[in-house]
Amino acid sequence: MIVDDPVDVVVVGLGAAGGTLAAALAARGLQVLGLEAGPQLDPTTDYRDDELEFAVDRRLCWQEPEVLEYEGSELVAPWLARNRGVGGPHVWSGFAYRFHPSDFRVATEVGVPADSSVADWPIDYDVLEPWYEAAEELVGVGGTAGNHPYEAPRRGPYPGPPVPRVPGALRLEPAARALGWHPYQPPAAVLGAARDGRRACSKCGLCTNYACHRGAKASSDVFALPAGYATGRLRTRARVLVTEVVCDPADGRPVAVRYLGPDGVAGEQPARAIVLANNATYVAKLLLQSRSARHPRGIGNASDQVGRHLTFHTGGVAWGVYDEQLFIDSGPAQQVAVDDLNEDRPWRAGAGFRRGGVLHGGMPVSFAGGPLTFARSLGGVAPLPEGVPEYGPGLMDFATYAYTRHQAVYVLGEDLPQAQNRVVLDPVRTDSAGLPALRMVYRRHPEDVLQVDHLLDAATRLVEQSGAHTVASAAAPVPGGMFAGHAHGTTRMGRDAATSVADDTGLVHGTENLFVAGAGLFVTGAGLNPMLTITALALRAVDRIAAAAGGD
Amino acid sequence: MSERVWSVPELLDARHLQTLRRLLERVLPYPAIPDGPTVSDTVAYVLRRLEHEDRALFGPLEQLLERTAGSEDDWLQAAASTPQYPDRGVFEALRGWAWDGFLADPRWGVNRGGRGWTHLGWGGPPRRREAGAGEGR
Repeated sequence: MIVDDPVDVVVVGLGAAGGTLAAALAARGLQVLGLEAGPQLDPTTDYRDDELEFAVDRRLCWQEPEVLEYEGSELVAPWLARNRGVGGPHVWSGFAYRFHPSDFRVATEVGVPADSSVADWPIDYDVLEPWYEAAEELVGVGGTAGNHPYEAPRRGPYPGPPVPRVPGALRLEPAARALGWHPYQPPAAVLGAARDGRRACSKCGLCTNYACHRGAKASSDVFALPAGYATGRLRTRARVLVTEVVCDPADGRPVAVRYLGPDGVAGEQPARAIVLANNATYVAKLLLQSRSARHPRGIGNASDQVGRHLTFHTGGVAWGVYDEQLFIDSGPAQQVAVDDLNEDRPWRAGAGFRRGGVLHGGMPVSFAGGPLTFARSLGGVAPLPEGVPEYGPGLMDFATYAYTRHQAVYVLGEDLPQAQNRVVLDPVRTDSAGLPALRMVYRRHPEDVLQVDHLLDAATRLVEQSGAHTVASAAAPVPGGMFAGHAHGTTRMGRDAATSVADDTGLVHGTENLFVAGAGLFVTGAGLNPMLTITALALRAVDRIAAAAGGD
Repeated sequence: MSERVWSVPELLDARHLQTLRRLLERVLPYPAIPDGPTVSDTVAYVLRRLEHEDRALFGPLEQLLERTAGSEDDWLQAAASTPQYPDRGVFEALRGWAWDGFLADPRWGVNRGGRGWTHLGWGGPPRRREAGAGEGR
């Protein structure tokens, strides 16, 4: 086995959290090595606009078999939209929300529903607010401050202007107002104007599933890593799969990570501080794989909390076909949002669930992309309207008519954490590295079932109100956030080591130098997209990690 | 755009090829577009997918082709109307391949001249259009 020269910090996973941390720690004067299981993206092959490669075959996503035990059924597929490659997230859409203050204190706000593991975060919104501001500046978030009544408190305008609008969005806003709601254009990590050497969005419509060829959509290879490389203290290695955290057998202290390199040769990277910043599900898998005499259930898992409280977001879609052409394929996804059904507002109005979600409208039913993505979604992600056949000339005629004349409203809801919803190591199946496959055990909470029905009904009403003559809707067949890579809660943060995995900076309980980063830290998932909160938490953790690594 | 010449793997015998062709024609009849997408191109494309990306589907598809020769319409009707139908996965794969044949990038040997795109009202990959002239629609 190769044993590399020690570094101050090794960061595992170079997406939003890992890329941000690697660059910031290098700026603190630390020698940082970033290890990424995916490749270094190649502009000649990885930034293309081919729907077959990127939306159908998901070139930028991992394709490992993952086992989903959902409502008692076992399903095997590459379920998670896990990004592959240095400097992600590349495949995401770019929604860049701050969570609401109530999202940090759900137990206080609405109590703890039976059979849930709802709890308050150990930090509140006010603690994270300066880091949200820093994250927006780093990422280059564009938006319009004060454009809806439920906006989280902020001290100033967004760093950039909002993204360009598309015609369909302009139909949804008056419709939402007619329903008594307060529609707004959501904040985007997509540039509405050039900034820091990145070009503005050109409305190519290829956001979700694609790397942005203009650098307009934020990924850490454009907003963070270049500054890290410029210090001369950050190195990154691609196609290096970390398989285990190695501990000193004498005292159990984490001292290195073990990996499989690009050539399949095993190696060990010693470091003074170790940061696990890959996808929330795979951080948990990595901790569970790191078993030793000192940590027989996996490092950080003395209280059997690693992998638990897994949430994904609920999901569903309503879409409609209109008389006139909307060309909804020409724009980024941040067009129209409705937050009136989020947090506990539906509950206060008498609904049978306590936490709601957001509606996102003004995008294709395939979320992004061109005609192939649209057509392939018909009968799949996109439920077919009544009377449209599943195949044959009727399907072709419908697709031909509907492609330029449709738009969708997507539901994204907060699912309640439950202790038994968790990541475990599959006892039978293995991944391509010969390690236990990821196994996700998930069942919906009864309140989540009511919530999705409620939000989907609202989305359908919005589409109908906006003038669509043909409408269809359906809840996501599996947790909706799986398609978006929204896994949270597997390494929950908290003050009590008996009920959490890490403290509020991501320091794993019982260690002094092992950190976790990313959405695994979330105590509850909120009814909003997670990326900005992931980045804000990462920025907030820099001081603590630097101190653990011996930096200033 | 340069369109490469693709080889056609000899994975299926003539009888199975004929059944595959009949199924694809029924799943998604392509409109008559001069010099546009053809089912023949899609059959060749499916064979290439079966050799690489969709290798796992070769066995189930071959079994299906053996069973359904001459009764393609009956099978399609059953598979399309029953979400839990045992062959539903193959039906969805056939439908997906048929759409690929009509709408995927011509560089994969399908959608001749991008005419499927034009039929649906799409001007082609926007990034290439952007590189060529102007920005966006």
